Amino acid sequence: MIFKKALSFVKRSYLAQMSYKFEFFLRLFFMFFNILTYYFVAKLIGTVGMKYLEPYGGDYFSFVLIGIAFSGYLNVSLRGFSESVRSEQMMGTLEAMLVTPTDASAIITLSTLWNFIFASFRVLLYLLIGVLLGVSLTDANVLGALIILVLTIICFSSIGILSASFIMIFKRGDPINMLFMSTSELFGGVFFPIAVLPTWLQTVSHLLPMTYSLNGMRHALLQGYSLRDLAPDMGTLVLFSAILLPVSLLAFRYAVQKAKMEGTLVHY
Amino acid sequence: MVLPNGGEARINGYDIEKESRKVRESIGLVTTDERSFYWRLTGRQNLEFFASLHDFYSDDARNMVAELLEVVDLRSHADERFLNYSAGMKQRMAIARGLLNDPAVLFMDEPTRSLDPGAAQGLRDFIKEQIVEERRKTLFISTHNLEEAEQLCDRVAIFDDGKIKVVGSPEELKANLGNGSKLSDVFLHYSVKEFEERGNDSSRGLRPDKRGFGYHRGLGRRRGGI
Repeated sequence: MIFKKALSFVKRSYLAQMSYKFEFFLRLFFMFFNILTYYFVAKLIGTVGMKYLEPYGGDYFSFVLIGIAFSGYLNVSLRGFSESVRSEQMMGTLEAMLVTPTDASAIITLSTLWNFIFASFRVLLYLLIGVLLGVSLTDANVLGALIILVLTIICFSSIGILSASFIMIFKRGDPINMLFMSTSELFGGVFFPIAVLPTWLQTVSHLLPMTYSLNGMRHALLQGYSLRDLAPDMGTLVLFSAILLPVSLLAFRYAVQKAKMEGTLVHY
Repeated sequence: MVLPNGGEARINGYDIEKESRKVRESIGLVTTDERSFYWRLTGRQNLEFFASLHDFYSDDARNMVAELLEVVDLRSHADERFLNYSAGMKQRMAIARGLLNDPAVLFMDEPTRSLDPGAAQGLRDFIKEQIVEERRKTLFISTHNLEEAEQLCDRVAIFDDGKIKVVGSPEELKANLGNGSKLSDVFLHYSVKEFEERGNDSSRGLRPDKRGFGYHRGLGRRRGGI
């Protein structure tokens, strides 16, 4: 039953998205420009950063392609839940959904599904364009990459649910989103290996799930690491998820309860 | 959507706190907020989506939506985008959505707001004939339109400042104030009493109407309703 419900949320979002076809294709078009920018930056860099890029195969374009493609999941996870709460509040549809037997948590979670599907589509396109521009994925451990992806989504989504809890109560100004968005790109290894950072700053990197997610993903896709080799990154992501998921679900339940007590569930 | 900070309430026999899901299965909401639909989707797509929130899918949902579109006379416009609907059509869509789960109790918030007098009367007739008499639903209607309350309601509760001031049938309430009283007199009587007791000074915003009841110039901005 949940699958059918999920499908109906996806259908709704797809129909709404496709009613703005021009915007949809424009986004895809400029994504291509984005990739080309990094392609030429990589040409300029050449083998300068080889020392740092060695563990990932030595090519900057391959390194950054995986970084920008998969960091999209962080954006969706961090913003998706809170934005879906806020957008349904602002559109005025939240109230009509909350009086139905479907739980608030299911409504919020399923509302973000389309964003994850679209993010996955973008990742596939990034990889496809990357391959056309010379990135080699011939050794990729696809199963390992998929496991890392699932763990990444669970982990990032937990942070996203935590973020949505703040939105539920404070409506705007969510510290979780700001904290992770601002630190993850800089310290998580999206654009450069964290080995470039001074040692004391690398400590910050080791506190972010993004670091393990991208590290594992690059090793799986570019180097073809086995599941055993990927175990340290996977294990750390499991640990993050084991802590963050229950905390975020409790926080969300508390936030919904508090908003109901105060009668502010549909306020924005 | 809102939890009580005291007391208890039941809808259709279910406790609103402990049996929240059962309560939500028993109710329908008809809101005048036309933004509560997805404007880029068609009427049918909107209803099928909301049907899935009531756990109706595929053919069940499609058949039910088709039937409801027939009931609210929107079948011929079902595949047009919601944004192209007139105010009256949007209102009928809201009613169709409220009936999706065949609820025992239907809440209607200002059902005829923003409709012209003809469309409003048409909708009131529809509510009375189709929803109350034909489908035997219990309706809770919140309205500032006293004529509407008189036409549609068996029992009326007058709210002022978030509190129920009086409850009864329109006839009882009017009879309490004497012959020739209207429901608007009842409303003014109960909603301004507080002002009179508090201020006891007609120069501070209160002036008597022709029946001798206090009338407050700023009444329109106060939280009152039926």
